[in-house]
Amino acid sequence: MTSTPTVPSGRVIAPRAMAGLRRVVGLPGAGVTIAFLVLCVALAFASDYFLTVGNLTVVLRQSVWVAIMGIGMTFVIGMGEIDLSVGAILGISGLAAAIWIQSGVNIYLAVVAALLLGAVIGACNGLLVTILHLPSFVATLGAMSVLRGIIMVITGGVPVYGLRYPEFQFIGQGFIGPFPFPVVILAAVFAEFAYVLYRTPFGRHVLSIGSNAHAARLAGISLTAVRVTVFMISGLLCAIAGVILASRSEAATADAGQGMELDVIAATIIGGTVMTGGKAVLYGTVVGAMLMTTIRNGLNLLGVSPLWQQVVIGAFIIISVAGSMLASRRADGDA
Amino acid sequence: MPSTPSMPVVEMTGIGKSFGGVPVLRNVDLRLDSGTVVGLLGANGAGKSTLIKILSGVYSADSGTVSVDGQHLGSASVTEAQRLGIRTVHQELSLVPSLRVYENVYLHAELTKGRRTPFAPLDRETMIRESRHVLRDVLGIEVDVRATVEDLPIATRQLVEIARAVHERAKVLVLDEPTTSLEAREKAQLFQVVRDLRNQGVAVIFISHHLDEVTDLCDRTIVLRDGAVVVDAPTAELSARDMVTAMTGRLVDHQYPKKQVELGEPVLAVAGLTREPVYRDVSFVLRRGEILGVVGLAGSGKTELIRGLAGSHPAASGSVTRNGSAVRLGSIRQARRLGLIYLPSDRKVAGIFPEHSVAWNTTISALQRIMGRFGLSPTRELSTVNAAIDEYGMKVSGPDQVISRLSGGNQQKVMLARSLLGNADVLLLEDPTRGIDVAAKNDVYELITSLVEAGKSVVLVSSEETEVLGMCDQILVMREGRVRANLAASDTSLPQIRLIAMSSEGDDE
Repeated sequence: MTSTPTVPSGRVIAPRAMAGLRRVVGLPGAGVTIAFLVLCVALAFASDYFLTVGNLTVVLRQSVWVAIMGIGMTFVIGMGEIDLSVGAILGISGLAAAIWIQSGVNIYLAVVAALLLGAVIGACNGLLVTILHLPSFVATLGAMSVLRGIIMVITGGVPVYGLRYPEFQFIGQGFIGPFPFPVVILAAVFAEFAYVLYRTPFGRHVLSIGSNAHAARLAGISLTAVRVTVFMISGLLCAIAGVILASRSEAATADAGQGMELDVIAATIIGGTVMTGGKAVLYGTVVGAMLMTTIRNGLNLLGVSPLWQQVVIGAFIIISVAGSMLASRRADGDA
Repeated sequence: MPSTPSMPVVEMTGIGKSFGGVPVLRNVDLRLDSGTVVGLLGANGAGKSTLIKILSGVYSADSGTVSVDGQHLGSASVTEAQRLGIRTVHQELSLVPSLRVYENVYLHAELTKGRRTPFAPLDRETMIRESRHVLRDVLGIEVDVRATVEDLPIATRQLVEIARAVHERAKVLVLDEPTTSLEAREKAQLFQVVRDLRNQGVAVIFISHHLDEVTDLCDRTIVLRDGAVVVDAPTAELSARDMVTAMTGRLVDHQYPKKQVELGEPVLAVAGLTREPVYRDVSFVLRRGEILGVVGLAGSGKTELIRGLAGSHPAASGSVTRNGSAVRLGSIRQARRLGLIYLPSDRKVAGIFPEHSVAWNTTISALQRIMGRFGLSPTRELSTVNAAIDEYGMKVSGPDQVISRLSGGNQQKVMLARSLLGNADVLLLEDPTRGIDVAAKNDVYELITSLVEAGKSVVLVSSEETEVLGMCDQILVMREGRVRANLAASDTSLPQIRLIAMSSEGDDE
């Protein structure tokens, strides 16, 4: 840039701004955030109702389940594994809480027990992957089917209704100040696990295993302990989501969480976490979850049929992941 | 000895080949007669594999001609070379493991009923019958041709690969280090097959580092050194010592930055270490400040030995004493707690975390050192890593640089820094300079020297004998799973080490 002085200053700023922009766009999770903001602006123009406090609260609340489970999934995928049983764990822990409460167990005890159940199921997934060396895809696919089956056996397809106890209702419906309690839970979970992922040796170990498990083993990392713990975290977070859902709907239905594993995986991948592991973008997952809810919400406001919403969301997943892969390939110098 | 009248099948004349301006082959003549087995010898980098690749059509020569049965082999074409009857069996076999034996024999040449189109029904009966004929009647081996290849022992797979070559009427069979992973009985079987083929008129090129095998099997022996033929003579006229001398030649004196360090107390003593069938009864004593070298051919057990010390593939029996007390090296973590840290030769596969930064890669084994009040402290990490960058002379743009962008030498410096931050006291280095350019190699040697000066000890397993000779104090030479000699580096020579590593003739040394 030796010729800079002869060039009018406005022209110099432009490439600098471009470089700055490119740096921002290159940041992990930037893609999903930009897409989210663009969508919000577009919807604000398209629908008068979108930017109301009421609607935004709805969007945030509806994202909570996928976001909380997505935080667990971010650990799992960051470690180079997958967990297909998340929706089923959500279902069975919500059901367990409901049954225990209805049979007279102390509400707090029932909730804690349901959370433990989720963690134990997650740990079992981890043991299948580490001790039996099953691919996590297979182990958790099997677990999903087993858990769904158990739910059907227990309920016979009939929901457990009538969870109208103020302490329990508060979990999914209460407010702390202006904030819905589920959103507070999400914030707390996010803060805790952002710390775990980025500021503890454990978090580094998780991503190191995702990056190169062989090297991680030689570096002295205990693959078994880390893997089991990560699946346990995923199970625990699904149970939290399950309890929130049961509280919100005051019931536990047999199909709770069905198909949700796909939304959770999609939110994680859209958020910038690499499918093959090694890199994880935790806030990207939360934004990814909100983005998907917003798309649904926006299409609803615009009067688009729910049948078409599936098509739009599917196309969006493909386009966004293809776009981010293209961007990272360019960043690698087309290597 | 063969009675078939010899006639040249292959004539390579005046072959020259350079890579990036560096000559690899210089005016090489190679004549192959039908019905003979020719041994091709040479140290690593002598040009053996380049010569073979030119013959099998992978590379084309810069100068010189190759003709097979009087037909000129033009530009590089594997298909053309195969059509002329040249078949190479590489160390890494090219069979499809999940397919059956007969399917492999007929791979890409499947027989069909009726017209040969990709979707015509396969003629299994004929393929099975013909494969069985080749294996049993021509090669004399009993194999179930319906067996799946991955269920067969390595030796049998090799024979299947040879069967494929024979079935396709190979006139020239190139065996590239075929015995590396074979046991004695399997070797005998392979050799019998090779002799049978020779008697049927096939010309065989046999590449091996095992001189006893060459003496045993080959009619003629060719030795390559620095890309030129230095010996081409009937094997009967050569001793193992002659072969080693020819391979080694006059040594170019390379200066290694070796410093004599006062050796301290024993830090690691090993007695009777055994892991059948790869190594047995290995014993040595490593002292503080000492560099112990382990050399041997591929398959000698040296790699498995260092992995045993690292705890990744523990020894089955034998005793280990660390700083005077008996210990077990049962797992990687156990070995690491004892200060034994292993750096694998293949950094990409087992060393680095490719998408992560230099900082990440440096501190991963010592994260407790960079803990602050709120977990991992970025400032502590930065200062730790910056200190390591200076100390190890890493050429990086900064701690944030992604490690896969670094050269091999700089990656190796990161690996060394990682192990020392992780409290390494005995470094187990496996080919630490493989894939590293000359300048960076010297940096690595200097780092190793400064480590032992600082009171660390090193076990250096290497496939470069010169490196071991130049850097080590004590040298173990392994052959076929046993330590054949324990030499003081000051008291031995490259030919002596090679002779012991490559031939039983060296055992009297």
